[in-house]
Amino acid sequence: MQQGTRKTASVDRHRVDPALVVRATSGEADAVQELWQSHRRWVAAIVLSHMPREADLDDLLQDIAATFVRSVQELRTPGALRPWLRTVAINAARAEGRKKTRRRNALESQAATDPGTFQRDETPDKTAAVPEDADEAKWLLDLISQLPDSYREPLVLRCVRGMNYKAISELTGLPETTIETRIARGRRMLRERVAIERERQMGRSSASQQGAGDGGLDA
Amino acid sequence: MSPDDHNNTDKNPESGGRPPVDRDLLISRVVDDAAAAADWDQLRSLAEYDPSVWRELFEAQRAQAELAQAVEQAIAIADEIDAPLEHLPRHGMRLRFRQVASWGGWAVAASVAIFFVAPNLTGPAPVIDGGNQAGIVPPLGTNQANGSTQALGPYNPPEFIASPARELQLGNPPSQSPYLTDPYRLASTRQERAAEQLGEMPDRVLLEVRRLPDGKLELVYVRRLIERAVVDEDSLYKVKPDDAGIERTVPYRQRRPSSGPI
Repeated sequence: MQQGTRKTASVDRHRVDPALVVRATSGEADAVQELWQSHRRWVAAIVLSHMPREADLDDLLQDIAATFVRSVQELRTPGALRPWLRTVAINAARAEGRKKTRRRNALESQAATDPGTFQRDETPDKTAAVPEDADEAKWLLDLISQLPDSYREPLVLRCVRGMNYKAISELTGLPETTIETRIARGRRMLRERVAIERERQMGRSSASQQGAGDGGLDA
Repeated sequence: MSPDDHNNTDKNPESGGRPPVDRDLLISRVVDDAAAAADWDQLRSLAEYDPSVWRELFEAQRAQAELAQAVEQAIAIADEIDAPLEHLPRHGMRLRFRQVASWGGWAVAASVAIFFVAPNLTGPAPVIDGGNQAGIVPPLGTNQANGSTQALGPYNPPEFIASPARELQLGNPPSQSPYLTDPYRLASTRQERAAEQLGEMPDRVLLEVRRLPDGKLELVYVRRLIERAVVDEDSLYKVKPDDAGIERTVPYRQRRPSSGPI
């Protein structure tokens, strides 16, 4: 692997400042705020990689920030901050997922008992359509949400500025080599999905052009 | 090239005895600007054998750029979310809560535990080397001098050296019943002289962290020691509620195995 000779991808800007954590745990409001601000971007990335597609990242982050403020004083050691915050973020995202699932199930069962009240959503699957430039980001994130959890999280975290293999490894508690492999595999899977979707879209558009052409001839 | 016919390892016969390189990893390292010279060499030799690797590298770099942009765009919203400091518990209340929680545990423990009232116990107690620090638990070991088990020398991280445990004022455990507290304190005081310290419970309860004017930190915490003492049964008591629910100190009697017929 030539680990020793490889360059580090970038500087770890998300390192925990122990003195800042101690100040925050002793209840200093400025320190609590500073600590949150220095970690909120990767927390958002964690939530993004675990939350259901239709969830609101903004709402979830506000909940996590409130939990952080309420409970940061319980921390015993500075080193526990990032794993704890990651757990809080994952739990919030998964709880939202469970909530959405329950709501969907309730709606479906209600629709089954009273089909007249509910109409089936006939809008096409958003992931099936290759987007315009404006929707490109959303489309990519939708595709990413289809990857397995274990690949998705490191791949999304790697996109956060300053999150290198080492920082992700420290955060997740996994070896650096595992993180590197998962990122590489995740990228491969994503490229494959993008290629498949683009091919499918090209097939659709050529079929519709053909249909329009046939229609023109008929007319 | 379709995903299925993708050969993921370097089978280049010119790779000269090096272990096969995972193609995905190689490309990923280049994308992350984490490739060493050796990685570039291997990529080059792989490309000589299979030029499609350059196209794949280009696609991977483009996909990563798009993905990074998408993620950055999505998480940018985090910059607008500050910590809601109105939810910050007031430190005094938090401290009081912790004290009640920790000392409450002691009170409960005292109500069910056996304690010692041993007026005639004598003998010096082995002393654990001072400076055991909060959060740092010395390993248990065997004292070479007397063969007893006790704490070995502690690790003193520099940031904690300023507040050795013996300087701390832990105070008396608050209890609704002074009746409970007094014998316990008496017993504790006497045990300090007579009992042998075996070690310490791994968790110490942090009550307060305060920054001192000189920049150091003052910690207030509870240490729980494990001790051993040899006493006469007559000097052993326990706390037990009577019929009226008032807690009384009663002599402790250990149940002896029955000698009657089975």
